[in-house]
Amino acid sequence: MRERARGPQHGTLHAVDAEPTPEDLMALVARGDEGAFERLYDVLAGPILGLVQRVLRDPAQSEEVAQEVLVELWRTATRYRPDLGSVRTWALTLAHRRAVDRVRSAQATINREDRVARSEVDRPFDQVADEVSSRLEREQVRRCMDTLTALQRESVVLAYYGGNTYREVAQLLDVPLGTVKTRLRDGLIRLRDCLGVAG
Amino acid sequence: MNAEIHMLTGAYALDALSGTERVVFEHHMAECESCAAEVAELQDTAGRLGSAVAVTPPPSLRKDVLAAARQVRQQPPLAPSGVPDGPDAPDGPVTPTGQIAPVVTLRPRWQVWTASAAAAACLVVAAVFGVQSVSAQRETRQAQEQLDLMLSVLSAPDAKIATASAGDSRATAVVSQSQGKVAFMAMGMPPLPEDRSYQVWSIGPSGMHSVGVMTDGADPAPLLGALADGTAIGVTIEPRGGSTTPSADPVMQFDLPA
Repeated sequence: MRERARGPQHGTLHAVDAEPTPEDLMALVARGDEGAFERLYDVLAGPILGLVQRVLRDPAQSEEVAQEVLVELWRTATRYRPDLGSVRTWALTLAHRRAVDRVRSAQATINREDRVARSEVDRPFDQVADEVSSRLEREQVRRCMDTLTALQRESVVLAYYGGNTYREVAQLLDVPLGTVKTRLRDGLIRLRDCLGVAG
Repeated sequence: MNAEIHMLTGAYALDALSGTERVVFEHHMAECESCAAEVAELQDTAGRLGSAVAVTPPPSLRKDVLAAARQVRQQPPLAPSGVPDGPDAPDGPVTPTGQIAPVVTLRPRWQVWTASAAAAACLVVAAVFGVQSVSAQRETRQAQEQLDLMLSVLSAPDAKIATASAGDSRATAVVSQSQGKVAFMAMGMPPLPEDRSYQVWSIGPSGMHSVGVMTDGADPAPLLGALADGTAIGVTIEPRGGSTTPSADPVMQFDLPA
């Protein structure tokens, strides 16, 4: 089981039909199947750690949060409901929420002057995984990001990858709050349409 | 609620709301199907942004996660109705992923549970904020004053919260025995004839004592009053402006945490 679990890292594109989906795996995990959890780990750990690290920066803290998130997926597998969204979205929503919560609780005690850099906006896709599937996903997201207006893109990047509240985004970009709210929504809607997100 | 809050779907999906706004928005989403549907799609989109920054995790993480998971008991499945039961109840419906379980779960009958003062603070702030968002701007200062009063109850070390819901109505009471105060908030109250008001009572061995009369509208302003020896909260329908003693049996009633 453990050896097979390495599978998705190679040749995913050809094997995709034969591989169980994350949703299939989650159903098994909900019944306490540790082997299925290992395979789910192999699918989700890269995106989860990547996202958390993007927001938190600190590698040690990021691994800690990623571990929390992954164990939480195990713990709450019985509560997953396929009708409310994909496993990947569920996992990444949780990961982002946890990363952002960590940032904001730390923010209460430390003034994180090094975290938010405008240069971030220009190069959000460094240091990423090199698997084919990730590369394709990255290319597609990059292409769709290019369809956004500069202000939409900056707002989305500062909020999502930067872990900033929309108030902070408004401050950083020196635009009114209402404008940021609208840009975040319009930007995401445009990305949704470009990426062809299944509803 | 209103169009402005609907604009927050994007910010919510990106976790770009503050804690208070997040709670308020989740309240809203529980009642707004189109918002919830849009949020689901936008969260999916945000997830794609997450996938795009995947890294290759160190092998040590795999070992650590699998070892940790082996030591963690999985949650039991939720009851089919979505209503949690047993000792696990408090953490069932409030899993804050914003997606799997709505933070606000409407229940078919009155149910009461207690939560930490921190969670209570969120609810109170949310209730006041909610009132603000549907009220005229000139009421903002009043809401702020009420919020301050609420927070003074919440900051008591013995502050406890009881939340109840019926149909579309939700009520929250925060009590502090040491301060002898009770704060009460309601949302989604059914409309009354013009000559009637809802009145809130603290119910105890010595009888029913008025906590206050609700303002008009589905989401009345929070109330703060004396707890007296109250062990329960009741809501009655009174002639407009309220009564000194209740003129009818409560239309809603729930126990306060001891």
